Amino acid sequence: MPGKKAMHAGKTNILSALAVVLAGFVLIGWADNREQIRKEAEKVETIRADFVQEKHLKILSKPLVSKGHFYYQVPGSLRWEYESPIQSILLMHNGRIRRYIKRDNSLTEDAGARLQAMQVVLREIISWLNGRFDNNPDFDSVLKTGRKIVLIPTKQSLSKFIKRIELMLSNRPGIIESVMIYESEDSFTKIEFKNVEINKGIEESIFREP
Amino acid sequence: MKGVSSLLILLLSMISCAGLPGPEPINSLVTPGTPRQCSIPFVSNRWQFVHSIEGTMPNGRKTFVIGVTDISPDMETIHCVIMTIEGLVVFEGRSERREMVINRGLPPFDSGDFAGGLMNDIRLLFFKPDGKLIDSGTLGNGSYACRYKNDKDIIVDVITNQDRTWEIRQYENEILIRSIKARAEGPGSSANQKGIPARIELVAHGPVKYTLLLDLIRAMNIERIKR
Repeated sequence: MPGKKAMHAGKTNILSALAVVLAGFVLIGWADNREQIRKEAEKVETIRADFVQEKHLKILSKPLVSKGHFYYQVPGSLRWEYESPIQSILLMHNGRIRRYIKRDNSLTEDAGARLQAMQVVLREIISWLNGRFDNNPDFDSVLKTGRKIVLIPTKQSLSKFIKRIELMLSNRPGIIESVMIYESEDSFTKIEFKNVEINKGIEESIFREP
Repeated sequence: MKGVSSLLILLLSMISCAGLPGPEPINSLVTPGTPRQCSIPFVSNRWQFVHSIEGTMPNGRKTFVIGVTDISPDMETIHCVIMTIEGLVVFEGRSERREMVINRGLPPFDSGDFAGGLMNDIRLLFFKPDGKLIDSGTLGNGSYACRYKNDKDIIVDVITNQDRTWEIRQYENEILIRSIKARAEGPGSSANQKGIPARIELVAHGPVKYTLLLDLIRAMNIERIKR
């Protein structure tokens, strides 16, 4: 015969399990429709996360793995910092985009024309973080089951280079878990976000200074 | 007037040749066959390299990309991918016995001239020079030099220095058009990367001068992986 203590512990376990299941339903529910996604994303003011990026290419005998940190603050400030294999910092703040590379213990600003292309990509990422997946006429967006959003280019000029983008939403409301950018079926980039912290204060200088 | 223009032409030709000396004299040694030193900078089977590349353009501005190069000297094949640090592929092309195919190219990396120049630079960096070995021996500073000349009168000097560095110099009409400096390996190199340069600097001389600084991220001997 179980004693009172054991029965109480059993009840607590059942209640805890029930709470977890209920919380699971609530969290799964946040990505059911676009309006819910947008509402949850609106609550996010800052994001700080680590990321692991895997570049898969047919030519590569094994994927090229890059690691770094990601910072975001509404309405449109980003810091995308790679720690390895190359140390680089991409800053977007007040509509200005800059990239710095660390080499031989000194920072050099990248003056490449591709930064304009990156500006387009970064604006798109900011739209996603704001929960707006159907804002850009260059992409058709489809919300799939399993918290997946698929973006398909509408223009041939873009589809020549990007076949589709898949965004995997986290079970935590307002957070993107991973991004897959397919340039072709055997050339794609996977970015996974880890240790995500939302709405914790971030110094403005993080977005301004390398 | 004619005298002035002749002087101008002479001055311009002096300026354009200044700092671009012709091939250095080699103190020839009588060595049968191809000396071992001539082959030191070049790989002999299929390798794949990943480099971070810093490019300094003629206006002095710098740009950074990642380059993946798969080379097979025996088959004379080069497969090359250039991508941004974020992973966006801006160029992918192949060269097989000098036949070139561009599979993907985002402006300004989409031109045939760019692809041709890129493949020529890769060939100069990693392949033994084409043409005949016409001379080999020591230079005044004690370095060992091997001189090759092809049927288009392009001269390539391969110079191995005593401090484990090497240089490659390419001349057209006795004017330096490319120079390369490399060091065998860096302090962090793995056993698989022994003999593979940790850093290579390529300078394209002439009117459109540019510099490429290649830092090795990883090197893989594909033949060894297959076995």
